[in-house]
Amino acid sequence: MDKLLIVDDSATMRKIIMRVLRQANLKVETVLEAANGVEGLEKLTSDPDIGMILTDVNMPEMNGIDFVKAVRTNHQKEALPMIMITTEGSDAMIQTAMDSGANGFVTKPFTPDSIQEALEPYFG
Amino acid sequence: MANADATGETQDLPSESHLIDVLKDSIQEVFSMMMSSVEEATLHRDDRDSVQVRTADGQVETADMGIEAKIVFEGGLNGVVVIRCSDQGALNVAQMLLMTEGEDVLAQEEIDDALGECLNMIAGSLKTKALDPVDDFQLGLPEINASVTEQSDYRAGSLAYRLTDGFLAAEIWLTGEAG
Repeated sequence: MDKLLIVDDSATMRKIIMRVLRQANLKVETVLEAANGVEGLEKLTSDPDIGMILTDVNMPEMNGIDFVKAVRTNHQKEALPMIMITTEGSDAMIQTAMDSGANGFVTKPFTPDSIQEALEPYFG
Repeated sequence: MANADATGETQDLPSESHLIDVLKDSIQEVFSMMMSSVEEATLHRDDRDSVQVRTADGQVETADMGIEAKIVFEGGLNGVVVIRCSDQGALNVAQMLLMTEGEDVLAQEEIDDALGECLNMIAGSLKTKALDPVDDFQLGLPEINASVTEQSDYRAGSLAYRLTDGFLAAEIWLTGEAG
């Protein structure tokens, strides 16, 4: 994959996800980072050929649910794979995430295997 | 305490002891999946900035708990989940999460962020297991070294752990009257 965007307010979690991508042998040319949904939309505007987005839910400025909805509607990226990676693993939250337009959901804490399983279908 | 769910049926809010039991499970889950196992210890004395901990081998050790992270939850029950660490303990948590070597230098901002994310995962797990099944709860964002007691009335319970290097204490504070 050429470009992947990680949206999470924790720099620690962004680094963990990047490490897990390497461990899972999911090859990405360029990993972009954003600390919240607003920054995520800005990255998508300046880099429209992002191939996949991984996003947290609970973030300041703009949460992950609103971010996914904005990507699907305002940026008209209906086919862009978006996976939510979040601590909030209730059935209700998973349903909300899928209803907002997310393609998948990974709960923190996670193992490299769970990340690989969620992302691998989108890697050629 | 009871709360009505969407069907109108009454759901009992979790007891303080259940919250602490689930907090214990959540801590073990986060540490075992993202870092390494932790050894449960007993809080012997707690002066907030300093604790005495009795470890599994019976030794009593004193640690200055210089770093504290909190996260607020609100719903049928309002409170705060807190983790406190010795400086060495906080560095240990950051090193484990970031998988850095012992000699690597981490900036305080990196340590604080790692501790906040550790707490975020612990509180998220607690919310999913103990709070979401009974009511609609919201979780705040982690805050480092912000006052705990201004938003809460009493401590419902606390836990202590010996890390590879240093100590960690975890607790839940609630608003209202002690149950």
